[in-house]
Amino acid sequence: MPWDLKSDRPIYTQLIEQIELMICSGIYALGTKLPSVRDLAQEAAVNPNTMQKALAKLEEDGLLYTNRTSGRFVTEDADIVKQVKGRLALSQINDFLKKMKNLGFQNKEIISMVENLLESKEDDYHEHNS
Amino acid sequence: MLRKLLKYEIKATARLFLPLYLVLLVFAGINRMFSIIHFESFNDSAFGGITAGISMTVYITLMAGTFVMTLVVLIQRFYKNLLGDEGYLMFTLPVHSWKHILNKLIVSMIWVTSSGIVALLSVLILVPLDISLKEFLRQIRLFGIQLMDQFGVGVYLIGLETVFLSFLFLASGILMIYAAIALGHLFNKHKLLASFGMYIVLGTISKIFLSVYALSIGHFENIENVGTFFESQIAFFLVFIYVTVIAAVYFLLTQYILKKKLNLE
Amino acid sequence: MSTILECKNLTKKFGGKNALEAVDLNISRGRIVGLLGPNGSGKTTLIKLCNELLTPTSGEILIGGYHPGIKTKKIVAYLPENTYLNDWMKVSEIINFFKDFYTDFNSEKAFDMLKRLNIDPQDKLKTMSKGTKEKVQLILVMSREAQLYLLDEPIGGVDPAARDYILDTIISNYNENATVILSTHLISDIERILEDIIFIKEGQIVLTKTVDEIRDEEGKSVDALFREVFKC
Repeated sequence: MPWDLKSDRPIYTQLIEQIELMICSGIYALGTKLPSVRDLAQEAAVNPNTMQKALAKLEEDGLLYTNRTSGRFVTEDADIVKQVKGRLALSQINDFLKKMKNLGFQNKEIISMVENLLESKEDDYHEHNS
Repeated sequence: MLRKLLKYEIKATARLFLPLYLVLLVFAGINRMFSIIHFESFNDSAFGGITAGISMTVYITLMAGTFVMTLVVLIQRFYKNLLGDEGYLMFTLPVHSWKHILNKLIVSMIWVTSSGIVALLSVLILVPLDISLKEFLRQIRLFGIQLMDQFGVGVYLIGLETVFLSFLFLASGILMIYAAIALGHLFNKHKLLASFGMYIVLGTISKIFLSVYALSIGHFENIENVGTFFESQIAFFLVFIYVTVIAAVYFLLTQYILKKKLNLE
Repeated sequence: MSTILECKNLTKKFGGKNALEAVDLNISRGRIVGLLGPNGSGKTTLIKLCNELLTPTSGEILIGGYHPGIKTKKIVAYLPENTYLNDWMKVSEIINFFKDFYTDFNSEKAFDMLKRLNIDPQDKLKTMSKGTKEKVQLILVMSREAQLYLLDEPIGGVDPAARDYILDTIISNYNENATVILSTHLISDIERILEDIIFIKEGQIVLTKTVDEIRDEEGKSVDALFREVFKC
């Protein structure tokens, strides 16, 4: 997954978000070892200190943990990941709702639109598999 | 660090001088061959005459070229390697600036001396050995005997001192060029031209200093008709003081500019 | 955190003109710092002063606690804007030259980088293009295990691929004891690898902050802020 960093927000917060996303989407599975700070920094083409800071914050949040001898790992606690997933989902939904409100849609309209869309997608899905 | 500087300085210059020396000596040999063949009337043919003429011209050009190149390289190695773009590398090495000057000075002296020796050698090759060398050695022996008569055993000391003073003169001459280049570097424009001007200025100042020095020491004029060994020693000493002071001033001036007034383009 | 570079009231005049005016700076170890300013703002003057290629008119510079001199030259790796390579050595010879003069030079690293950039160590410097020479110079500088790297416009004239390689080299070379200061006016390209930035304008420091502070407080990139501060 390529690192997508915007230029108008702190790099540090963006790194946290992207690593959270990588863990939630399973790119870094539970309990797996993370590459070194330097490798991660190189991959993302960012300052190693900034990457270090982001990882420290994630550690503080419990999403990562450090084993003194062997490096940094993704937590084995599925609940924490679930919580983060929930938080990320919520913020996505909030963004979506905000945009829809701006376009002038009411709650009910939004729900029915989403339902319709999901149904048609479901149909597509069944057709593909039949 | 000085030894490392010397190593690279010699490498950088030897690749220019050694081939030139070789070619010069080879052409001296070729000309010698023509002069031997000459006796077998090779030169009577037009072809032989032209070839010998060309070969001689090349030799003379090479001889002049050797001296011109010695001077040019002496200037270039200081001007380009220290005050040109390469200076960015040289002056950020962990080396004192006086070692840079000393390094350039030593290597320049080596090449001036060897250019002289090689030129002499090429003449010895060119001119038939039997006549020239014998005559040359005889002259030297005669001169030696003459000196021996005058000074006794001290002649060896005088010989050593002469060699030493010659090198000191050479050093002060080279340092004067360096100081002129360093002063020229202080100008914003036309640095080479300014260096040349500074060379003339320094030369004039040195002459004025010499006159003042000579006047302040009444004995100084005696230098040209030295009678006894003792007198010769006084003369050497006075000359030694003069050259050393001049050389030291040039060295310190150059060092000061390189250390405090450096401003690479 | 210990300081690697300190400038106190540093002033440099050329003729009557101030190239640097009362600069106060304090840079810690383990940082990647961008020295940002338009052409002629004093970036190169500051870097040259740190290398003893210029002498301050007043004020002082301390690098690892010492004034510029032999001691600081041993711990500072400097990449000037000019190509300082001579025209008679091979690449392998200039590597030996560096190894001879700098005890912190790592030849293995140098040969490794040459290989990655497809430069033959047996090539003569004379026959190289300007771009290749710049790469060789960067390799020589980055192959030192120095405490302070001063890179003057390292990405100025190179192509995008080489630029990425340079940034990559700087990141991979990072260690918490060494600081990299790089001057440039092309900010958007390097913004991501910088931690601290210094804005310099007409010989004076106008801003020193971290990149994230700027983004957080101003809500814009350093590049955007730069364009604002240095608007013509």
